[in-house]
Amino acid sequence: MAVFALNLLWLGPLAIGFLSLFLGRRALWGLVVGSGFGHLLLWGYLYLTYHAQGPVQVLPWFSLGGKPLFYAIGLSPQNAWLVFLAIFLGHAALFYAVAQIARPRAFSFLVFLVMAFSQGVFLARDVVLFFVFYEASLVPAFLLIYGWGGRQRRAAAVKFALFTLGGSVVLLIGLLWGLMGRASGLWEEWRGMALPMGAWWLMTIGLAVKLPLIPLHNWLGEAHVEADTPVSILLAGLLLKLGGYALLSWVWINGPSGLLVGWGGLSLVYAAAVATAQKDLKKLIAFTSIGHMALVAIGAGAGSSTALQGAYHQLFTHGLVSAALFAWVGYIEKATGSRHIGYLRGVLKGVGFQQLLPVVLFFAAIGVPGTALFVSEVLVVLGTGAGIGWTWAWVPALSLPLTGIYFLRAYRELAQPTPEQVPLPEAHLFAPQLAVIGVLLLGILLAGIFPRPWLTVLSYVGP
Amino acid sequence: MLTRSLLIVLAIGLGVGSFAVQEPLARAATQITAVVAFYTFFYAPARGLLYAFGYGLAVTGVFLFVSGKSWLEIFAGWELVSVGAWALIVGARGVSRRSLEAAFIAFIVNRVGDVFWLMAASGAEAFPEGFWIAGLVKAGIFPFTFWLVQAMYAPAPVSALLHSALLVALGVYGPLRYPEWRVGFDAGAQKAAELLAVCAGIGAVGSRSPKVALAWTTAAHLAGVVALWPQPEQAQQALLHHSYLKAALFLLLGWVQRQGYLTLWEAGLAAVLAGLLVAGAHTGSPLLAIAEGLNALALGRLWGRFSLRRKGAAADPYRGLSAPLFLAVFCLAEGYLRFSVPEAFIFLPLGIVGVWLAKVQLYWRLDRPFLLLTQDTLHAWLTWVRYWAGMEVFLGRVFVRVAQRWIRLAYLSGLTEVAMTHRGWRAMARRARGALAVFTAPNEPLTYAQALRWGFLLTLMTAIVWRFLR
Repeated sequence: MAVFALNLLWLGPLAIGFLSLFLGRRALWGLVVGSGFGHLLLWGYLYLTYHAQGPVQVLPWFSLGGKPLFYAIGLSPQNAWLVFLAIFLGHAALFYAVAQIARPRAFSFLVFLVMAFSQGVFLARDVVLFFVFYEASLVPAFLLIYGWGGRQRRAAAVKFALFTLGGSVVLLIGLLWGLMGRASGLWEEWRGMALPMGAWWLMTIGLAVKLPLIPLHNWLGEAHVEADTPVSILLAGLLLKLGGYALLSWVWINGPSGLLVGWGGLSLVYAAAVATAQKDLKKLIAFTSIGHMALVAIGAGAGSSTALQGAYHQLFTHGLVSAALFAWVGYIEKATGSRHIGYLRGVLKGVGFQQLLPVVLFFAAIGVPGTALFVSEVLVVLGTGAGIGWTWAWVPALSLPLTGIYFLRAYRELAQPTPEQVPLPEAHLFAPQLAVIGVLLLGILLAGIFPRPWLTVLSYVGP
Repeated sequence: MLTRSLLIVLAIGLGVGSFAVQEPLARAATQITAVVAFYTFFYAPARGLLYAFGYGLAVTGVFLFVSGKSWLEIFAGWELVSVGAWALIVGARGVSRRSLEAAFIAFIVNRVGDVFWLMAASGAEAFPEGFWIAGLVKAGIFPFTFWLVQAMYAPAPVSALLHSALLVALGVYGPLRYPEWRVGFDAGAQKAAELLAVCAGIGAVGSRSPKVALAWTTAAHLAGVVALWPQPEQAQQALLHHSYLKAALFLLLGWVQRQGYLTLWEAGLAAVLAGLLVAGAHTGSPLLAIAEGLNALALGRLWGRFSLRRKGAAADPYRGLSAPLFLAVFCLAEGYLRFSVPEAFIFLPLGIVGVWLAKVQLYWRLDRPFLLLTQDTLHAWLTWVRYWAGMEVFLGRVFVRVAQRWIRLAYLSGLTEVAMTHRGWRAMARRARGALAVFTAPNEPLTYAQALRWGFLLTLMTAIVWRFLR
């Protein structure tokens, strides 16, 4: 039963994706809600039964260069909450979009595919199976960017494809190199031994495209800006996490630590600089994602148990926060017809619900206490000091003032009174969008105020 | 109406709840917040949700800070107070350019201080100084006074909270509550703190605005408390003493500013409060005595400036209730009148000289260079980032150029490959089928050559997609 449920975690969205091709908009709505609850129940059953320590299924698949490969999947402390994130965000994006998106059937089908393959990436316990799912997830992501969004979306989609496919080639070579010195690509076998330096570098570069780290991040700005809001939610909330998770779980087990911390630090400062200069709200949030994901690299580089805990936690919490921010920007764009800060000046003047909502979201992204990112960031900073010495701790700690600067600056622009202020429409006109933001916000606050469920599970991810 | 209701609920809840609180700073915070919330109810019209939210966050922060069992909880409390302060500063007068700017600087400077805190916490015992450096920033000790002075844009009740037990006090109280935070604070640092108290006293005397003068006296008093860190009990007493009296002084100042003039008995009350304030901070150290003397001068000058004003303020229906009654209760609340009266009046002659000094039109602001430095740094960052945004665009263009050439090359390679085989697309299809056979016949071993062929196919597919798109 447990193994069946485990397989349903990725086969379920796949099957429902095909089913969605035959349904109308209204029926799709019901399907999304039903599927969401169903998958959450499935996840809840496995999580509560095994406390994120299983179940695991291993079946022989085929052999590669004399090495046996397996269809091996399982729930582990590393992926338990990310699997939840995939279910949560995938359905949230659909709920956000189904009422108003063009070509809803194709859209739902592709989102369900993204969900299925992302689950596969998280659940895979064989490195080749992981790679297959990882590659498969790029196809629906490419089509989602290509098919829905702004005028430049096709160019953005091609850029996304070229970067990620280029990264995949490098990743594949590194992966094969790593596989050469091992009896198999199974999770325990792979993680039990350090990777050859060349393989480590190749895999790191390949996956750093997806995380992303500078200078391999260039696809991200355009992809997020040009993609439609629900696609941006998936991109930032889920697809970036595939790269982060893969790096943490498959590559950065025994790597050159100081280098990663330095690379992450550069990425953090660069992203903060570019984000501060943005006038486009969506682009601003896209670059903040690079800054936040840089903390994952820093946490992994530090290598201490606390830092790894923080890095994995950051994957989850940033998923919620970035999704909520993109959902809000999408709502603002729909409501006012623009996302340019200059045009929107004064839009947040006042103290109503619609004006205070972004204050909470911005502070959640800054990572103040009571919100999810606070826990992750503090763990990464404390873990960095514990892992490689307090003199390095300032690198992740820089994130504190830098995130404050760009978000509060944006808020300052949006809140200051102007003679000609863009009015916000009645909230009920955007009920599904605001409901998604509300649910995400609830998750952010819950994970910030009561982080124990996450931290208890992640206490097992140490080196 | 909602805000007022929230404030009154907050006032009653905290007022009653404070009797159950044992921890000294938390008790002071609840009592002061209760009084200020009550005072604000009469003092001002509804200020908005952000304002009420700020109260709640700041008090929660103090509680979390004093009761935290782990670094995470302690730091959460420490940070939450800053967020509450931001909300109070922004929300108190309604959102405006100045309030946003003041709150922005306060928040960012505090977060820079927090970087030191985190470095200290992460380094076990390697860098304990980080704790108290962060404390100095949070307490607004000179030269970090500038953010505190900027925050004076917020109305008097907010200042009363920030200057008493809710924000700056935390910076000084941290090392008293957690002894490991004081490690590394030696005699030299103690002497430096006394000197900083004198500097802040000089700053206070030269202040033009009464509220700014009071802000500087806070910096001076708290530097005095910092100098007392090696004697924690004495320092704690001095800090609490300062908290109650400074809150009372701010509320009185707010009341007088609203009224527009100073009545005789209000001046008397102010004199007693000021006397008690400076006397309570007197520790016998010569440098601190100088600092307190300067504070007395500054406070005298402050009240002197008011007494020079003409009467004639707008009528206020709550005038009879507000300031005098609450302040009297306030002063008595913790029994801080136990400080002997003669000692309290040591500095009163200086206060009288200060009143006379009010006529002298000479003002200065000692922390201006540091404020300018911070503003310039922020400005430089905001200018610099534009170049980085340009760099991002440049990187994008470089990528497109490189990608176009690379794809052209890959495309030509593909064509060459096809041409070399002289069998066109069929050969390519066969090749692809060969690769796909890995999945259709799973037990057949896959060679490395086959695997590398996948890489070639990926390249070719990219080239075809690109060609198709163009």
